Amino acid sequence: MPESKETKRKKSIGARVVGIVAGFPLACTCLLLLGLLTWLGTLEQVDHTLLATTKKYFNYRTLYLFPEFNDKTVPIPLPNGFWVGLVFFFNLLLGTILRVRKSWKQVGILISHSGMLLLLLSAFVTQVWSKRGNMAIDEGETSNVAQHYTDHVIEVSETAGGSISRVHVIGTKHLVDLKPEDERLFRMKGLPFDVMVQNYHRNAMPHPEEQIDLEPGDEVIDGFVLRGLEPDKKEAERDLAGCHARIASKGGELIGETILLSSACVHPATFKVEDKVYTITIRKALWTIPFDVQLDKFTHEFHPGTRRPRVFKSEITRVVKDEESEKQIKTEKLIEMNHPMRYRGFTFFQASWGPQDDPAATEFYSVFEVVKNPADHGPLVALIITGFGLFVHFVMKLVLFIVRQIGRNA
Amino acid sequence: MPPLPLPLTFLVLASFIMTGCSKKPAEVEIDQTRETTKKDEQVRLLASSWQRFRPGERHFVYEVPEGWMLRKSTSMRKVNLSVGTSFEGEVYVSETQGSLEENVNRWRGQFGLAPISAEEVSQLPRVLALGAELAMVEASGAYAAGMGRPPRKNYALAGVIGSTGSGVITIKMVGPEAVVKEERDRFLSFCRSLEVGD
Repeated sequence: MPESKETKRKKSIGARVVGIVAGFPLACTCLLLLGLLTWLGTLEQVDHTLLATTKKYFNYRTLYLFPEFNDKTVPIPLPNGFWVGLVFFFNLLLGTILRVRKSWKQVGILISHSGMLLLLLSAFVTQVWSKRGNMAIDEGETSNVAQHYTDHVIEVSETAGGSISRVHVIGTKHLVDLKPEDERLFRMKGLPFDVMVQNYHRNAMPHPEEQIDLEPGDEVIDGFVLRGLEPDKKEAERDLAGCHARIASKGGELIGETILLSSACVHPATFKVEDKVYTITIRKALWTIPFDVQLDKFTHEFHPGTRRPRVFKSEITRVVKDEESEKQIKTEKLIEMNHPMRYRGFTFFQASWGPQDDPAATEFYSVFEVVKNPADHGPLVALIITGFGLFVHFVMKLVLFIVRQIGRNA
Repeated sequence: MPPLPLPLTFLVLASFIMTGCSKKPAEVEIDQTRETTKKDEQVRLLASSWQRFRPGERHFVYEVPEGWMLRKSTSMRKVNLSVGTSFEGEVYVSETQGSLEENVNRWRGQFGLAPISAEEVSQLPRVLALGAELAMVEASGAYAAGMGRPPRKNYALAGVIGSTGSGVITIKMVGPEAVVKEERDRFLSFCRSLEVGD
């Protein structure tokens, strides 16, 4: 008898847990929290950037956050949207499996639930696997490369005939944990030397030595001093990393002078090893697009008497090399606000333009936000499924009601 | 040994994991490469620091004579140095508006000297600076720098001045007369080393 009581008690605890996880109150709580987080995030992104706010509110790296309003922190911790979404996903999944009655009358509900599950799954895929960057092109110029908003890398390049022939990349993951007092030796595979990185700053600026008051510990490198700055908490994409680099032989012996690297530079530093010319630079990570984008014309219009944008549009030519015939296939496209170009898994949004501080400018450049998101169409498909499910459900309810009324009247 | 209670085991394991996470590697092997892009075609090899960090910004390169002290430059003083045993004299390079004649006479006026004509300006002694033969102006006496500051007695000036397209460029040493006299050769050597950087 005591054994069966124990079993019953265990079952009831398990059932109770499942009941909570798959329960309606948890679903309501999650929905309310997601609504609240979206609202607070929308308010916060007025002062901070969209990128920084999205990172703060929907990030798997933090469990909770403190909202900010008018540059003041609200001392109420809220769970991070990523985790609320994850809990809501399992709540919806279990609720659909365990709670929704499995009959043909509930088919609409089941369809709409699966649409919402797909929406949450798309959000998860976007958060974890999507890639974002920007591509700036001058009118008449062509580009095939996007630049990451925040991630920095160090690139060591081989040269041939006066130009870059091969690029070796020290990835962001090997740099993010470095502090100014740390040093790290990077053993470069395929190169006859290694690279020692010292004095790494997430945000720093090089100054000519004569333009600053030198302080103890300042190292003047070729007339410039690297000064660390506080990372920009609001707009991390403004951070420009910097460090000192030393070239080391494969035996570990440091050779050559210290090289100052800064993401604020236009050109890389050049050095020689065994009579071969190499370059080294630190920059925002680049990723190659498998086709070229040529900016033919950029047009912008404002609402009369204001700086509120009415039309921003870029007329571009997409140039794709046909792998079989090696011919270039050119397609003219228009990218404008809310009308991105989607091609081969990449989405190009009209993001910015310039020069914005020169009203007399006649030549412009356009900036596209380039997004590679495996779940790009997920939200659209999810909304169609959810809408269809609700449509089926309401139509069935209506038909059943009419049938019932006819039956009563008969 | 009795088994550890579950929470303690968890804590021990967690502390090991945390310790492992916080240890930074001193060496990392790199085998990542990327394809070359159109951005790589725009790279300039052998660029100087100024070309890398401040492209297009006018700057000067020079050798700082022994005993001189480099000071922070300002918007008016592109190169700013202190000279003398107690650094009581100063040397600075400026770019300013106006004609050669106006600026020579402004300097002379600071020492209470009468203005000279354009012809007399053209006959001033020449010294090598910024890769050209530029006019040299010397004066001594009570120095009134202007801006309401009282004149300083027994001061001297050794200055080099040359026209640019839109104004003039000046290299000026001013300080107590003894200091200017003592540092004159080093000043001329500094002028010879001065160049506009790439």
